[in-house]
Amino acid sequence: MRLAHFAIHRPIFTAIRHGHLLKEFLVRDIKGRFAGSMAGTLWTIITPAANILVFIFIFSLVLRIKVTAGETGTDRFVLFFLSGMFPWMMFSDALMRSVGSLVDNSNLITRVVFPVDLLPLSAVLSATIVNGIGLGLFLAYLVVEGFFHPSWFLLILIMAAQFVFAWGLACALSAGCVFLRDTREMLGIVLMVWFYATPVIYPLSMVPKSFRAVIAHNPMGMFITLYRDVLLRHHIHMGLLVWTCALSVISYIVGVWFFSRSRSAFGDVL
Amino acid sequence: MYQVIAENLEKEYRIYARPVDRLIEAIIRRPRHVALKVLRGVSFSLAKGECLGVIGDNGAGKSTLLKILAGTLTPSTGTLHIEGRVSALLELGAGFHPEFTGLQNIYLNASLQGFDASEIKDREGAIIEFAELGDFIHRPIKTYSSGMVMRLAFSIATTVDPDILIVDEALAVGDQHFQQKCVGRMTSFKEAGKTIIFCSHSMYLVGELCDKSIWLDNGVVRLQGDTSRVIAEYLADLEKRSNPARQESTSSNQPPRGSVAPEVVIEKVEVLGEQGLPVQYLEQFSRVEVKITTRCTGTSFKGHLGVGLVRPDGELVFASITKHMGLEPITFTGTQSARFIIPSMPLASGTYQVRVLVADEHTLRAVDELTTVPFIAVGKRPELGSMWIDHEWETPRASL
Repeated sequence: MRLAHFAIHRPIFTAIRHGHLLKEFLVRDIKGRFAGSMAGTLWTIITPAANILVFIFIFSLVLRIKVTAGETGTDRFVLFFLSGMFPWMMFSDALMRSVGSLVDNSNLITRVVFPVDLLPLSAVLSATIVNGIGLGLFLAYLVVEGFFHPSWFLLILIMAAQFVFAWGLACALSAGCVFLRDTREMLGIVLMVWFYATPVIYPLSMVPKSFRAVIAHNPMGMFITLYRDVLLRHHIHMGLLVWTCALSVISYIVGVWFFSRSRSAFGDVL
Repeated sequence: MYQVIAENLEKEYRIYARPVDRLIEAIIRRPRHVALKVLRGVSFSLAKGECLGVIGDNGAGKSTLLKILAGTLTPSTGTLHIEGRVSALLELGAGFHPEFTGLQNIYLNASLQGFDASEIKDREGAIIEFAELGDFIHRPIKTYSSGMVMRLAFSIATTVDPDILIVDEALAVGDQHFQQKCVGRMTSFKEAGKTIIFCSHSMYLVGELCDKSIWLDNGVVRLQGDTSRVIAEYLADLEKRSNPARQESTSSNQPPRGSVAPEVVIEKVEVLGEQGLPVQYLEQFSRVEVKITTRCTGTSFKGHLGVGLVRPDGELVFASITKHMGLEPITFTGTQSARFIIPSMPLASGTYQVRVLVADEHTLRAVDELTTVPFIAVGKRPELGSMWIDHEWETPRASL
């Protein structure tokens, strides 16, 4: 085992040292998506706002599903759903953006020397920012509905853990995609299955007892439970938080290990 | 002190039957590939302020070498020691985002190279001015011509003030005017004590810029050293390959001799350099002597000597015969030697052979003929063409 290439702190250090470049990448990721469009980055607000409005309309007026306040802290399905949906979107968008972050930038990697670790990181960051805007809009709506509580500041902790969790996976996926382009397509399917295996559009109580343990221990399920508890019930399950933090650290270590092991071959393959 | 030291660089591309094999190998570190060596045993060192030219055919490994030097590829074995900041212009459009304007790309590209916003801001004007893009700087890169993209890329790469500049065949798409501008910029880089590594198919540009050169042939260094010598050898090799048949027939060291021994036999022809010693390389404008040793088979024979310079393809560059120079016929007896002296050899870079001829008194019949092994002329002048001709210029003066 050669450990010389494997420095666990490296991606964090590079991100700090090359903060300026990271910013340029972020600008490129976010602005590049809207380059040439008239509203530009305004779309990052318009899209989630439209989403929220549509969901409110559907779930409050058309599909009048009820959840119990005892289990979820609210009896309005739309609040239950969106408080799980935004964290999920943040996560799945982070993975979808990062998986191709190396392959799509092959012209950079093969021509310029720069810290490649920044590419998956910037993808995860930009997903967090873009979807964070949506989450922010949703939080504003919750405030209007009178849900605000000081425990909301714990959200920062949960988001940070989820960010690290996604970052580790992003490193592994982006490097894996260099060698196996199919990763991107496979990820699409995996995320779809993962979405339905996570209690986003249904409360855990609807799941048959025999499956409940599996669903409840799925990492994203834990994150979303944490979000809902804090947002709607204003309390935090400490054991769950420790668990998710541990998972995040494991994801980060494995992802960075995989990334640094394969990075020297990027130039050859791309 | 050396600024770049490369020792025994090797690059091996691994050919995998399936893409996933590469992944498995990267993880478990057991070979699952067929190796293809594109670079073997490349070693050189460059001092501060030196310029290295890299020449060779397509696919010889030039770009691979430059990518390794720039750091975008890792060598399979060997060590590379580089001191200072490297700026590389490897291929066109390096790191440009097609939807962004030229100006936005300046910021993106320069920050890729490790600059922060304030440093770029200071250089922004200089970059735009050098690239001569005018209002195009505010339009997306996708609307640029390839020449414009190159101008912007070159301008950024050289304005960011690197210690080492690597340029890979990028100037080819530029027009003459911009090429000259680039050469000028690189020359001033050299004068400022910066190190340049330059790869081009234009021998003229390499000759103009580089002190040292490396000739890569199939991944191996065929020759390295003084640029003019490397270019000369490379051009000679090109010529030989493009004309193999004629080369064969003329390079023979066996002069055509009949079954009957001629009256005078040319025993030996030596090409002597400045020190009077046989040489294989001749520098332009140096003194060259051709020493001809003859042996008369009979008692005596009256005749003339001729010396010609021939190119490998058989074309005669120049020839001189004693008779035409108004000299009396030579009386050959026993073993004698004659000298043909060129005080200042005018030939430009290339391969040449000396052909010596003994003719009879009336120069109607060739008695014996001998062609030497090829020697290589090493040009010293950037001027084009096959030889130096003394000349003067009178150019129109601006009338007041």
